[in-house]
Order: sequence, then structure tokens, then C-alpha cells
Amino acid sequence: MEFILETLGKIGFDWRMGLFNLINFLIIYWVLKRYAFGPIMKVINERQEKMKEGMDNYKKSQSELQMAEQKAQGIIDEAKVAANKVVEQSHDDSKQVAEDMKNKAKTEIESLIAQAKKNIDIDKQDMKDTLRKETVELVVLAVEKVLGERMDGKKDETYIQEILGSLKA
Amino acid sequence: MWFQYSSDPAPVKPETLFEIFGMPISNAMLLGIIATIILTVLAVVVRKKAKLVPSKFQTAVEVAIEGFYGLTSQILNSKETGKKMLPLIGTIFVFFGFSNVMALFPGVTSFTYDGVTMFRTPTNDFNMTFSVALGIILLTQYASMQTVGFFGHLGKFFKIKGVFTGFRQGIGKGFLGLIDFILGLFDIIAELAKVFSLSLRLFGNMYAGEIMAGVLLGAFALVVPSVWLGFNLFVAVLQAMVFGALTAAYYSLAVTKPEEVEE
Repeated sequence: MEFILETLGKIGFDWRMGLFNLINFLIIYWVLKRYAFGPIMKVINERQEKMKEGMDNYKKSQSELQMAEQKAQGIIDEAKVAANKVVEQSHDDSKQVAEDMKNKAKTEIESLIAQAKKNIDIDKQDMKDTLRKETVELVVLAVEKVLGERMDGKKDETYIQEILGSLKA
Repeated sequence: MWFQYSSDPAPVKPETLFEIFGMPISNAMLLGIIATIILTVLAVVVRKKAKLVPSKFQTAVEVAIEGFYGLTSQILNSKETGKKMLPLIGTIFVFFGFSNVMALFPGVTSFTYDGVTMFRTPTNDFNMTFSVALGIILLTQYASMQTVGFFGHLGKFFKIKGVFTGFRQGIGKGFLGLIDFILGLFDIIAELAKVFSLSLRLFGNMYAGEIMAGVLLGAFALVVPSVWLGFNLFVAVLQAMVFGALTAAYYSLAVTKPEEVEE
């Protein structure tokens, strides 16, 4: 032991200095542990935790967004189907309405035509009657002129009847 | 002169500047105290300014600390142990690295007190490297005892059990156990040697660096000493790192259970 201490003493070993240096080292060890390594590692860990939390939140919100997008797409698809149905229905309805209106118009036109035909027939009959009457009067006038005498009621009646009888024949 | 470098070869022993109650205070101790004070101030500043959103200074400190943490975890092969050992390995690197570099600042070694250089690199004093190395080896012994128990730790060196079980199985295995027992005794010397290898490596490098700087300054006035100073700067940081890395390696070996080694 003495030999070792003597040999070490040749390169300057002194246990008091060694102890002092060790205490000095322990002090700086305590200081750095307490004020540098500990707090900095704590800050680094805290930051890493926050970053991890942020990443987790980002992933979570991304999946939620994806789900919401899927849901929205589903709603849009459903709405599209419903809209198509509505359009189809309205198309059918309008077709039906148009058909109904067409039929109604047709009926009205037919009734108008029928009415017109009826009116034409009545007018035709009226015209025929008028014509007949006027023709008779003309004939009477012509006959009066030919006979040179005024036809009285009785004669007139007789002639008219004779003429009408000949006309019918 | 401010920008001068002592060309006289430094004595191997640190020079005593004065005594306080019979306690000699050497120039290396003085610079060690100054380094401790500066690092304490810096640590307090770091503690005060540590924020979640870091400043440039804090970022630099964080990068360095994460570097130590990565290195320590890698050597110890465990993030948990790496975290536990980070303050010690980090302190070795920061304190030794900073002390080594401090003495290389131009002019630092030119201050004298009573004809003696006032400042000397703390690691250029065997007292510093030896005491810290001894402390570290004692710590590794303690860590080993915590891991495998007191008798388990002694069993690493006195492998008597292996001799008995070996001879029970046969003469060949018995002799192998005997060799293992002798090797275990050598391990005691190896543990002691670790103290000297750790301390002398750092001390030798730093002292040789200073001697070489003196020699080169005497031989060449220009360029070469500057290059050597630059190289010394690199060695100063590297040796601090080697000391820290070896500490981690010794600790790792100490906390490894014998069965894990066999596996």
C-alpha cells in the first residue's frame, strides 16, 4: 500500500487534494443533475408527450373527418336517390296531367263540334224554311203578275197549296 | 503577455499556490473550482430559461443532452439505465470537457501567482482523474451488489462453487472450474486496474498534450503550435468522451448478471 502511495506520490498524488477534487466533482454532479440534466430531460419528455398527444389528436381527427366525409357522402347519395324519385314521380304526374288535359280538351272540342253541327242543322233548317217561305212569296208575286189579279186570302191559299203540292211531287 | 503559451515543460505534479487550514490548493484545483462555478451559473441559467418552446441556447443544450442520452443508452443497452446514468456520464463529459478546453484559451495559463502558473487543466492533475475514477469504480461495485446481491457480487471474483460442481461432474470440468476460480481472482486485479487505466489515460493524454505544446512552441514559433492547439482541443473533448463512455461500459458490465453473460 505504501509502495503504491509512494509511486502515486511521484506523479503528484495527495489524498487531501484527491478528496477535494472528488467533492468538487460531486458538487458539480449534483448541480448539473439538479439544474441541467433533470429539468432539460423533463422539458424534452414533456415536449415529446405533447407531440405524441398532438399526433394522436391529429390521427383521431383525421379518422373522424374521414368518417364524417363517408357519412356526408351517404347522405348525399340518399338525397340523390330521393331527388331522382321525386323527379321521376313529378315526371309521371305531369305526364298524367297532360294526358288528362288532352282528354278533357278532346272531349270539349268534340262537344263543341257536336254543338256546332247541331247549330248548323238548326240554321240549315231555318234557312230552308225561310227560303221556302220566300220562294212561295216570290212565286205568289210572279203568279199575281202573270194573272194580273190580286190574290186574296183564299185564292192565295189555294194556289200556294197547289204549288207546294207540285213542288213536293 | 495575454496571447502567450508557456513554453516551459509543465511539472508532472500540480503546483501548490497557497494553503487553507493546512489544505494545499493547487493551480489545477483552482481552475477546477472556477470551472465548477461557471458551470453552476450556466446550469442555473438553463434551469431558469428552460421552456417548452426552446430558445437557440436551450436547443443547443438539448441537442447535447440528447446526444449524451443516446450514447449512454446505446452503451448500457437500456433506455431506462441510460436515463438513470445520464447525469453522471453527462457531468463527466461536460465537466472534464469544459475544464480541458478552458485551459486552452489563450492567456489562461499565463497568469502567475508568486512565480507559479495560476491555472492548470484540472484533468492534468492526477489527483482529479484518480479520485473520480476511484469513485466511479466504487460506484460500479455498489451497483453490482445492488443487482446480484453482496454474495453474488463476491461470487463474481471467488468462484469456489464452480470448482466443487466441476469436480463432481468430472476431473476435466473440475480443472476448468479451478482455472475459472483463478481467473476470478485476477478479476479483482482487473477491477483495481480499471481505476488506474481510467485515470492515467486521461491524465496522460492531457499532460502529454501540454508537454508537446511546450516542445513545439520551443521548436516552431509559428503555425505548428496553433495546429497542435487545435488538435489538443479535439483531444480534450475526445478524452472527456472516452472517460464518460468507459464509465458507462464499466457500469454496464457491473449490472450484468452472470447468467446473462453466459447466455
